[in-house]
Amino acid sequence: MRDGVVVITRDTYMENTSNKSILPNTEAGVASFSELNKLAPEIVTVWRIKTGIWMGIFMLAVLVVDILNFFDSDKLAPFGVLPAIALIVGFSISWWIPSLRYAYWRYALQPTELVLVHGIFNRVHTVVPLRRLQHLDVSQDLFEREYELGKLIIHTAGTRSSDVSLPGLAMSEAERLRDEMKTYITDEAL
Amino acid sequence: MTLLQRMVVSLPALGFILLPVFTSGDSTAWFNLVLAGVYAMFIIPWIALYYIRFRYWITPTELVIHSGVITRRKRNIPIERIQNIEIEQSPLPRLLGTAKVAVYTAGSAKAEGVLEYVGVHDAQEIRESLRQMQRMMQEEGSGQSDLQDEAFHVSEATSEPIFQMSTRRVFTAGAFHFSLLYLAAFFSLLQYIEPDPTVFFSWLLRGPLDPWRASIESSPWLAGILGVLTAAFLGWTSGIFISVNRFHQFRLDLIGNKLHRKHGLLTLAEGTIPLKRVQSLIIRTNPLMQRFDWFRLELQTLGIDLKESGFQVAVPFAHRHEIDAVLELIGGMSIPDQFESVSRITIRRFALRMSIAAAIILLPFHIWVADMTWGLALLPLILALSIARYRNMGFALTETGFVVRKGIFRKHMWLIPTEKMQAFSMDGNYFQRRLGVQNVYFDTAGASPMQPAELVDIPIGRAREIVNDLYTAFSADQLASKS
Repeated sequence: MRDGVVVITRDTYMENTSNKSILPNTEAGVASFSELNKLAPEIVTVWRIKTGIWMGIFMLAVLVVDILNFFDSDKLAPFGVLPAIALIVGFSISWWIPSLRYAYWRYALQPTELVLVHGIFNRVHTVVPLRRLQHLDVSQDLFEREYELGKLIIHTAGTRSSDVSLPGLAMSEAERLRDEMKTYITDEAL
Repeated sequence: MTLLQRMVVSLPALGFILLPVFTSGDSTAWFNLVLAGVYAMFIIPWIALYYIRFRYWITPTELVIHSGVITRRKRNIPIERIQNIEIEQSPLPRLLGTAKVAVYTAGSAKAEGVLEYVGVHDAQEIRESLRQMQRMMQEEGSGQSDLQDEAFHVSEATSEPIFQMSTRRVFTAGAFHFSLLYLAAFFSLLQYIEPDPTVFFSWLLRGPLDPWRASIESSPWLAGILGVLTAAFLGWTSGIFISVNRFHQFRLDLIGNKLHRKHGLLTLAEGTIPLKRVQSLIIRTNPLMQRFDWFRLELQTLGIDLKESGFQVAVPFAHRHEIDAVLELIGGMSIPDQFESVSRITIRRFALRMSIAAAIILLPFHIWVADMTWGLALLPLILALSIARYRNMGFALTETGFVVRKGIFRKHMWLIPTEKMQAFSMDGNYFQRRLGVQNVYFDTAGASPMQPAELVDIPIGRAREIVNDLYTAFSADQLASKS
């Protein structure tokens, strides 16, 4: 089990409901990071592979254009320069962005709510009360399967947060979270 | 008493469904003929098949509807779940003596089961049977039935509606409901029916309007002004017409914990909104309406099926004190007296964003097409808009929920009860974080994605406080409701 995740039962859930602050009283939502959990580090590799594939497609497109313009007299740059630039840019994007994404992703399952903090440019801090859960999914794609990672998708009845996803969890952790959280799904009328 | 295991088949249905066949394809154009042929080949058999395949019956516990030609759908609606049974008659079915029976389950905005083109007599019989089933169920002690129709119909005559509109009020509402949309729809319809409107117009012009035509042709200015005036007049009258048709004899009753709404001129509509299904309340107005103290109250509701959500007009057109009275009767939320404003930084950010957007549009023109220096004149306008936006944006924390107000031309005010909040979120982009502000958003079920009740540019500390306070209230509410 990962550190910092509190195991809770229905009893402690009810006890903890009263008057609890969800947000550590800190400046700008940065320091509260220390109290939240990081994702599994393997997710960085998965993200790198995925962005890398897209960047590779982009690079190929640039290459094709460059080849088609091979005999063009007034082209922008000598043959091979544009694909090389695309390659370098694409590589650095797919190298740095995933690690930045990882660095800013935090989550915590607290007694009555799930807290998610993420985003590089636009930083989003979402609190999903556990009693608002409609249903939970654990999904795993081809790359995630290779690294035994899973993604937890939390559905609420809301509009914008109708499906909140928590990527990059070890599969066992994702399943554990799901099993823990599913006890809170109630038939409560909206 | 399991006597009602029977199948009811409606007879006047087919003739009515076939009506579109006779109205289409009267043109000599070959294309229309082909269309009519296609129509005859596919649609008529389809309609017939649909008619043959459509079956419904009532069992002691369920209303069963089987429908569909290619994709067959079987829908079972548990009778105890049925909230409201509506019989609706629009003009044409009125002539043909048919009616539409719509069956509503707990608070869904849309009808769960619709039986169209049933004879009026049959419709009433269906309603009676369903009611009787429910009554029997209640007597058996299941006690689960939500139906309070009986109560409603008994008290309808006696109870005082919590809101109703006089004819004068309906006309006033229409007068404020200026819209060119219906006009556009009308003209497109005209074009569809009669491909050559000039025939009609030239007849009109050669006849009574001939002197007008001469003067219009001689002066483009007069033509322009007349055109605008005609459009304005038509937009205005169509607004009034729509309003009258929709809200004629509007009446809202509160019975038990449900709102009953009844209105309409040509199409009489009747609806039920259980209060517990109301997710948030929205009060809308615009500067002109606000000037004369007119507001509209809408309820954001959610059906039993989470996908079905909607906005129900509870009070189409009323003064502030009337809205307040309705809100008090509904209970829960009220309009706060004071609003807190967001950070002034929002003026700067909005102005900057608008200017950049304007620059992106105008600069290419300026460089490659024509001189666009006049674009600079937009700057004061942008600034004025930004300030107006700031002035109109406000929020208030109340004991029962959160209130957000915003909009310059379309003013919205959301009253969001704490107990209905789905998720709490704060976000801020890089620039906002540098400026120390954040956005706050409280999600509710069925909230419109186009018009979110999101509050932007609140000082970070205050944003945190708001989220914390509301979450604390939310948790306390949870505890109270469980114990």
